[in-house]
Amino acid sequence: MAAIAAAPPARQMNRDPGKRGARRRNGHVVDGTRANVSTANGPACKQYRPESFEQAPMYVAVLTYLGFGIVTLFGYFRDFLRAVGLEKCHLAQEREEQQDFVPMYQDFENFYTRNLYMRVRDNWNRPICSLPGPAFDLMERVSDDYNWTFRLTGKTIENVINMGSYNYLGFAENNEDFLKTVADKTLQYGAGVCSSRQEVGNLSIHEELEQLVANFIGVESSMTFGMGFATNSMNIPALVGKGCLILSDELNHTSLILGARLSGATIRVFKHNNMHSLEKMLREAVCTGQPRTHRPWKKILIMVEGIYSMEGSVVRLPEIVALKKKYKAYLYLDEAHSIGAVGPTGRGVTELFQLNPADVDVMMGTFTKSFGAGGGYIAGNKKLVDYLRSHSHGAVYATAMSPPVVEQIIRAMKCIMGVDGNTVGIQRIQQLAENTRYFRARLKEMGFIIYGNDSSPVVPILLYMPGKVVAFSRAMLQRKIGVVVVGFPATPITEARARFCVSAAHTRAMLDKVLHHLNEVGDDLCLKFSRRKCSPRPELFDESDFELDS
Amino acid sequence: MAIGTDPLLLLPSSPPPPALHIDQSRLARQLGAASRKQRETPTDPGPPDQVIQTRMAFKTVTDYVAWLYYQYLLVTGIYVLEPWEKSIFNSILISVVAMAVYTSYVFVPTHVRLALQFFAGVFGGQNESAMTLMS
Repeated sequence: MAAIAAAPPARQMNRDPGKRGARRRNGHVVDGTRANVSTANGPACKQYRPESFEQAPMYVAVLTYLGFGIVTLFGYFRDFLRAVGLEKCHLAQEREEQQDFVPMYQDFENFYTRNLYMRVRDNWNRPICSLPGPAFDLMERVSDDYNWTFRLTGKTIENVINMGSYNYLGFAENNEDFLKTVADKTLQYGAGVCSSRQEVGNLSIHEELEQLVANFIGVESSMTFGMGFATNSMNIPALVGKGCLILSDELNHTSLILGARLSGATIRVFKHNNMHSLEKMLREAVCTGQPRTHRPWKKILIMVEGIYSMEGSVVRLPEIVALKKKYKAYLYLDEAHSIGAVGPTGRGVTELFQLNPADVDVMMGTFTKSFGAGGGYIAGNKKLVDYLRSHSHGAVYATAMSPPVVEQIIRAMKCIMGVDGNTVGIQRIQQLAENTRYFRARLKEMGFIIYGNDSSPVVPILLYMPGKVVAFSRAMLQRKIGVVVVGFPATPITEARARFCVSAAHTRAMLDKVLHHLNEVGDDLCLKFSRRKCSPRPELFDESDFELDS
Repeated sequence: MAIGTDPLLLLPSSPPPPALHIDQSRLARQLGAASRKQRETPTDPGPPDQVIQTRMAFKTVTDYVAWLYYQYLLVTGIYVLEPWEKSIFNSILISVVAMAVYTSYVFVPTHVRLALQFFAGVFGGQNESAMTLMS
């Protein structure tokens, strides 16, 4: 239902440039560009599912700050006790001889870690002792000194429902039949490659994978790397350099930010998914050029992600493609969470919006989430990929991907594509879409505040207050449901959340159990902040939510 | 002291957190209706028949007060602190509130009486002067 359009959007978009060209000849654009951008994407915009970012009532923000304030005061108090010597310091300390040097350890930057994170760190890094599929086993651990040290009791908490793994299509499995080809290839190629791709590490299985990835996405060619984070951080410096401009979304992942910084290009940040902000920056960049010399920019690269994992929002791809064509910029799309997880056949956001994959200049993705493996890829034109093969740090210096991992990706991709005519892959994709819709609909109806697009399998539930974040995680674990809660450094300080990742491997019964417990815990902890009445009509994005002089 | 369990259970004289009473039959009907709807129209879950409602059942007043104390711990952020820090914060808060109550008990009646006298004097004075002018 999501991707069936009345008319292909490409035709709509091509109609307008002629009009815009005529207007520009006068040296004056009639109507302003905002109207042009929104009308240029008729059916595609209508099928763009609206996203909601509901704000909590004011008292919630006040109480969140109050909670942080009180804990900060106690943090100062405890630091004072540690400095005076009334309390034993569990952290690393300098030696006696170095006491007069510039302090290395007890810095203010670690204040938050020392005084808040350490108190509650039993909610993170929990040791798992089974496959992280739809359910897993946890090792029970307790702390005798308020989470400074842990000890394992030896007991196992079994069959905890896993709502935290990025296991979108359920390929994190240890079924012998499915993994037979992986075992065979391990026997054939071994486990390690011990070389980079440029030297002796280019195996035939790597070539097969790259061809398959290119076919899967619908582009000319692709290149794969052993680590997803390194795919971003090592390839962006090869594509842009000094004298180029990068327009990056506010909520981009650290790997994209690191790659942008390493490249040396000028970085400007536009508001999250806000096309007016992006267009304003593009116009200014094209008109004004580089900062002091006013020479034109060598390249303008727009960096966005397919699905933003902290918000669950989907990029507005048709509008960005229209903008990029109008202002002659390049587009870098990071589909880490969306490849395999959205779209009727799992091809990602280009399929979700029915766009031509050739419109996106650089398509990047990872195999960690939907394919149950590891590593990343960059796909696009053959010329681009050939250039990267010799100029990218990751390609030249990094060790090649390990053969069992490569075979796992190949078998997962073949399963999704339905190569032998089997329908397991497409069933999983449909199951994921159904699970996502059901889960989101039930949560909204219960009264939780949820961020993001209705077709995104990442569901953040907002918890806001630091005490409730911790209590939520512990309460859910007591009920044998494993959740991931995220707090301050990774999210804005007032918007702590629990992030649920729906998987195709979750059965309806599991989701119902999770929802039932969520309902109880939500009532117990008073987490149902939503003031919206449950209505079948979708909420519209507020177009006026934009400051002109930012 | 084992961490990882609800601190409410570690308090010396507090009962376990209250059990929620969910209308089981209603919930089963709701879930059955939702899954039936799902099978009929596989593309859209559709609006539900009724909103799921849960009533929190507190067996005793003590349960309810314990739940309120739990909410207070969560909202002020005290929940993450160690027990002796909780005691410090609670004592400071109680003493501040006690001082406020005592001050209001001692001073508010006097202030109110004085205020009433002031306003009565103002209106009474006006009446007298009006009377003298007329007569």
